[in-house]
Amino acid sequence: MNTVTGHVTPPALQLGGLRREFSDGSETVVAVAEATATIDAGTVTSIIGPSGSGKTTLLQLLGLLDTPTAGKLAVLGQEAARMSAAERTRLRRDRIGFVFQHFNLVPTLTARENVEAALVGTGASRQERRERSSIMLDRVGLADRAGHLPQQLSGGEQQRVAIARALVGNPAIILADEPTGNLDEQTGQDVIELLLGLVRTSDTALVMITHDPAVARRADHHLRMQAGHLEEVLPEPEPPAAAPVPQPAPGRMARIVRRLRGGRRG
Amino acid sequence: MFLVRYAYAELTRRRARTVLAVLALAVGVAVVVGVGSAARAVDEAQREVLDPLGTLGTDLTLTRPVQVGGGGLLDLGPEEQALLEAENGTAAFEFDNLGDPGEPFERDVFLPATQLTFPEEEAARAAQIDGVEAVAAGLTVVVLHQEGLVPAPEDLAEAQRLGPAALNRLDFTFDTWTMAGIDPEGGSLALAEAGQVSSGRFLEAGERGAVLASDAWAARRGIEAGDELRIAGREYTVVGTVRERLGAQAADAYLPLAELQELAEREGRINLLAVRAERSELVGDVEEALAGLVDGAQVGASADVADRVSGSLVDAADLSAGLARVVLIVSLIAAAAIAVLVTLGSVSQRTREIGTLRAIGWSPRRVVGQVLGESLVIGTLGALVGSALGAGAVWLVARRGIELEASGASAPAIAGLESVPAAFGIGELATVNETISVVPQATPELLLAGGLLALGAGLVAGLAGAWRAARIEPAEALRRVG
Repeated sequence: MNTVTGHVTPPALQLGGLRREFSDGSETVVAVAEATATIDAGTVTSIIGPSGSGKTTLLQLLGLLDTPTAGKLAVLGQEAARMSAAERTRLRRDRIGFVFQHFNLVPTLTARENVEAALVGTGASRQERRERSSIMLDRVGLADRAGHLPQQLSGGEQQRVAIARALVGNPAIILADEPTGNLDEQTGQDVIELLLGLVRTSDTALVMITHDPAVARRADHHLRMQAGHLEEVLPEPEPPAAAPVPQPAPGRMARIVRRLRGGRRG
Repeated sequence: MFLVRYAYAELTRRRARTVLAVLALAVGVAVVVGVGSAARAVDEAQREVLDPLGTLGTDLTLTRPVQVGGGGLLDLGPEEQALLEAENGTAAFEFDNLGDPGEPFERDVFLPATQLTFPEEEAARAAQIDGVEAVAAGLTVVVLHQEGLVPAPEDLAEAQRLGPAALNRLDFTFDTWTMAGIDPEGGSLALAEAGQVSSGRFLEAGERGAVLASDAWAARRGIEAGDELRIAGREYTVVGTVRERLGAQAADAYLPLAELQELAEREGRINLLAVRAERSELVGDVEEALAGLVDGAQVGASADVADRVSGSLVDAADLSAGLARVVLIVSLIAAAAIAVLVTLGSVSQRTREIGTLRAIGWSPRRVVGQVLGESLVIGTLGALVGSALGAGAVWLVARRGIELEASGASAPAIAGLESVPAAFGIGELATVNETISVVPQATPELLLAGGLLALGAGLVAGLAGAWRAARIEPAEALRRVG
């Protein structure tokens, strides 16, 4: 727990014995079994694990999109079990951002409108929504693509729009489900650099599911899901032949954005 | 408003789906407007046809019929024969005073046929009955024109013994037509009124030497307005021709009542009294009072006459009443069903999108409002396009025109004449046909009704879609790929 002058900052996420079962009447499948962890604000946490191990279900529980069968979950210090549906919706809107593997942009809305959609209902005026969306698109290097529909954008660009959408509301938590899973290696690397760069400049907690060890190594904390069980692990060692992973440095973000602007790949 | 922009984007960028839903509703509205206009037009056409039958429900006729059996006039009972003979004797069958057998002759005989006359004063008495608004007296007779050679008495006796058909063996020709004496100022209660004039003019009160011919009779006889006619030795000018009134009583020719009474030697006698009650609820009382006015009187209601009207117009009107309702309901259900299916399909297709919106903080209410709003826009577009389609279709049909025919049972100015044998051609009664142009009009009320129904269908579709959208679990929706 981090201590701020005068008061205590609660963990972004606190899980205690979190369990999620699915039952079709005759058979019960335990997707998440007794998951316990604490994720602090401003940290980056990776979750790795084989397909079907319960990673996405865990992420949906953390994002208040699903309700646990048992256990406790506190989001920014608030007990999820005590929240009404409306409160959970408000918390998602105001404090949580989502990035999906398949981008999940609304196909009929432009890039700016997709970003703006995350501000609907926040009380921001139309002008404010548009300004903030434009600024966010500029930060992800898509200012000149704001009026384009998703189908007119490459995969990398679509994911950057999704990142802009996740970040436009200044969330305290970002939950990313395999954000590079649908991108080629270089684009994926660029996108993860962008996401980490944006998160590192704020006090946002990032929890991301990934299959990519290189991406996972960029996290501060490493969790592994195995058959529904969550455990903290050490990061996988870098392969000997792998190039040294550059560390974020001043001016690096600008270079990434320039590179992304220069070559748009799917 | 973001929601409006979102709805606009959805509707314009998923054009095929929008067009399908709008067209489904538009066709429904067009059917409502088209069928509704047609049904209304047919109803109006029927009303136009039936209105001249009189103010249905308040008009009564008093006659004094003689029951005639299958054998015709010769089969009349002794009492009835005596009454007829007292009025007109047996002039039609008496040739003694025309000359010697074999000599040429020509004459017109006025037959009372099957209605007995009664005193004209009864009209004044009828007018005094409580609840009576107006009365019009009339006299109807059959004119039998005979021309040829005077038959020998033994030939005539033989013909009479063998029956009416044997009269044709006699060496003279005959022709018959019906003639009515009317009050020229009797309006719609009279057997003919000024509104029926098709050429020339109508009779004037107190006018002498003028006769009106019915269109059918004029056509049959080749008579035109301005022609001269010789009736019972007097010269008459055909001052005009009149259309038959569908289903109403009619005659071949019309004279002012007093003149026909004089010509037919029935001064002060009438055999038809048309009475109009002040209100339909008084008809029963008036009918009863009228029945007691004249011995053997028969009182009939004009409403009965309407039942004799048939033909494509009536068929269409009857059809339109029931079928229009069924067509409207079926088309609306079909349109609404298509709109609902399209909306549900759209929501199903957008499941992951809806799940994403829920994930980024859209409340179920906002999602429901979005789906509902889009459906209402589709409903509004359907209403507008459908109204335009319907109005256009109606305009095209009106321009082309639909003609329906109404047929009236031959107008028996002389009640019971149907059963008179064709001995004198009397049984051949013309059927009155009236062709009416049905002009459908897309009235503002119909367009509004069609529009509201489209909006209602859009609302139903929107509610169905919203219900489906509200049930989408974001976690489940996000598991969907593609």
